[in-house]
Amino acid sequence: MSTAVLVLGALVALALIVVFVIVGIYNRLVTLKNRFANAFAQIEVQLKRRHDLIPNLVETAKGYLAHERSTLEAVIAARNQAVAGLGRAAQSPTDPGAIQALNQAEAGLTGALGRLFAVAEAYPDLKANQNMMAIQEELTSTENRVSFARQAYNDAVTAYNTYKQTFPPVVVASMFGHGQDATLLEFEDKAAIAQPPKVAF
Amino acid sequence: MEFFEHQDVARRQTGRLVVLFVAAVLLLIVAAYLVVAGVLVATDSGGFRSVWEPRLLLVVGLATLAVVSGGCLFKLLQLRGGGAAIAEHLGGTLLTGGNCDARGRVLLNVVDEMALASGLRSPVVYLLRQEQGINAFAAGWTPEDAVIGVTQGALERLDRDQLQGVIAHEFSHLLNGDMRLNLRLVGLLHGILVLGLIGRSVLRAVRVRRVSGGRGKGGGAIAAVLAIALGLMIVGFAGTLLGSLIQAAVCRQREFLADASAVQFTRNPGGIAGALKLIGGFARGSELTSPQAGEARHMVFARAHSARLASPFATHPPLAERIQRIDPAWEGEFVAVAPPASASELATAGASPAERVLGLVGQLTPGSLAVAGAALSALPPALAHALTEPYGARAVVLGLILSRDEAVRQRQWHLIAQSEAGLIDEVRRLRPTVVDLGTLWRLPLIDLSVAPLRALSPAQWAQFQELLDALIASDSRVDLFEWSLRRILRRVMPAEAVPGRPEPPIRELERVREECALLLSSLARAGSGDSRAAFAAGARLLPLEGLALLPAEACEPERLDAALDALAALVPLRKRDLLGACAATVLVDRHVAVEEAELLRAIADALGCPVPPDVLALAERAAAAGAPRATAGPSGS
Repeated sequence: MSTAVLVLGALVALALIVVFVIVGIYNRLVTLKNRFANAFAQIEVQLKRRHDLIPNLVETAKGYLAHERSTLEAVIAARNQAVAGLGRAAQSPTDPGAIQALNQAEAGLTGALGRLFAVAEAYPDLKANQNMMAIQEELTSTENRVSFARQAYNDAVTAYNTYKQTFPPVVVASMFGHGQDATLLEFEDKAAIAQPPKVAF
Repeated sequence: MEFFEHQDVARRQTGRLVVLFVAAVLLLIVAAYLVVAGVLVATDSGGFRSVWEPRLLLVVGLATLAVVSGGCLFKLLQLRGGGAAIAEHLGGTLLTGGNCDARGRVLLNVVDEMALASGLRSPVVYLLRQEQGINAFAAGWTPEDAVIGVTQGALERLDRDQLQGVIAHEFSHLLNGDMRLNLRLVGLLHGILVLGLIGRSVLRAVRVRRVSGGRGKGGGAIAAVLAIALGLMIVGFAGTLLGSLIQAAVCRQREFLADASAVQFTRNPGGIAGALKLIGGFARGSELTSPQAGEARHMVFARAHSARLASPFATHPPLAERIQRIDPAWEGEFVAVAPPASASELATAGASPAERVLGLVGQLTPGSLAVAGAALSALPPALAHALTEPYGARAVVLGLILSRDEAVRQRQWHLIAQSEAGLIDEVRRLRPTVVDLGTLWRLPLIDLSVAPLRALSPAQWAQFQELLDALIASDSRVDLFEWSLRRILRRVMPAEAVPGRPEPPIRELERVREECALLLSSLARAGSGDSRAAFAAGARLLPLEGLALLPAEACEPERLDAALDALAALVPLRKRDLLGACAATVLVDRHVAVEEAELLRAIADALGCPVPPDVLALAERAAAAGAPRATAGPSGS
């Protein structure tokens, strides 16, 4: 009889251990998933921050760049497109088409800003303007934030995927609705980067 | 995913550490038990025959545990203040979007960026404005109450990428819970220390009783108590030593971990490696001058007190090793940053000339040595020879002070002749040379005569001073030069401190308002330019509202003496502020007149903040050139 009690006790203990391990795995999966979801939200926040800075920038630059009206208007247009894109992407975050459109709009905005700063190089007064310097620091910081937020998102996604694919979580992950791997963010101009650089003489 | 891997490593280390510490505490119990049991058996008291007594082990073990955990709890309660309390303790001020300049804005932005990269909430940022070394720290029990502190030196000298690296390093400490770990270690260490402290105080108490009470009949018991106390003391202190070794080793590992995480967050090894190289090449390095810096040594970015050597007690690995790990291609060259004591420091962009003067206070610089050397070699041989011994030095000083006015000078010759036979011939011989050198040489000559005059006996010195006073009084007025000379010569033999209680230190400039106004007014009136503007330039730097320029007749040198005596009781930081205001007053017209230099020098001496002789010349040059670059050499910029 005592053997039966021992075996039963051992089985119960084993079952308890398995339950604890599974609970631990489940909790960790949830934590990691929430972490990358939060990282994605941060990207949105920072993109919005960039959009909000642009009217200030244009306002400051307007006085100095009276002859560069078209450049300024291009920045405004690109910004408005990016704002609209962000709104659509936030409404349907799972739609790859919306994300794609947002990526394109952001790329357009970056290009327009680049042209504006290139033009501004020719106006020393504008470059020396305190306001302009402050806004430029803010833009630099915001672009850093966007890339850090993307990086943090990708880090979090990788951590989640790696954990999910290792043993033992791989056995139970799909049972708890963690079947799909999360996808990494990629450069919008991935195709362009993949091309070898062309040098023309 | 190195980032999370590092965290795992950190957790494993923490686990090992806890094991190690538990082992240390167990060892402590065993050691304490062996001491008690050994003594009891040896003295044959308490009825113990064998060393193995389970009941005694239980009692000793519980008592030891109680002592250690009690000491630990006490220390933890002391340290519970959280990050903000530590930052303020170190002299930090809260930096917010509202109260910062462009550089401060960059810092706040960088902190926010790193918060994003590490996935933490943005901590509050403190700026240590008075620290010129390059350093930073993170403090707080949890990421929620965390603060990040950055020194002024780091803010000014690091570029954006380097700042990012340093901040990322601190974020790693926050994220990995290093602060919490460290505080717990400090607490446990204190607990072990308490054991030793108890042993020591028992030893003391017993000794006192034996001295006062003589030998009673309980001699054997007292000997046993003494032996136990001695044993506890040794065990406690040895345990503390061992514990500090473990703690330091863990700290060093956490620094490597944080460096690696900084690269992880910024994906830019150049930033943090650049910052470390800059610290290695910067004379001030990562020093923290705050007296509380010792308590924060385990949480700063780089060692608060410079030491290049690896030591088992060091909380940070050597800089070179840290750089090597981040940047394996590094060849051991630190980025040379001019030491603060050289002339190029004067050209540091952003610092006003007055601040540059302040930076040099009390420092014997290569520049000032060169000036002294140049002065000696340029001196006429007769004077140079005279300045090697006190007799000649006296003659030089007297030659300086003799009046230009013929009638007054006659009276003065008379006084000198009365004072000491033979002295007058020496003065007559040297005076023409002294006068020929011109006013520019007055200050260097006084400086050079201080050292030989120290060879005078106190009686001779007193006699010489009497003679000086008589000479100065002979035209029944004290001009600024005479006053400055008297004041600077006090360095020869500083007045002995009056026995009895010292003056209580003055902490607020408000209490010496009149004296400050007098000082600045005298300096402003000594210059050739607009004295009102000069006064305003100095007064602006003082936290005193509505300070007014005193009329010329109020700026009597005699009154300055009393004012300076009162100001000498100021605390050093306020003296620094005051001296900064004085320097600003002098430098407002970008020109330092001889009288101004002498007066400023005398004031600085009186406040106990000697300024090297070349400072004013260099600061003037830097101010005149709009501070692009000033060099010590005569070739200039």
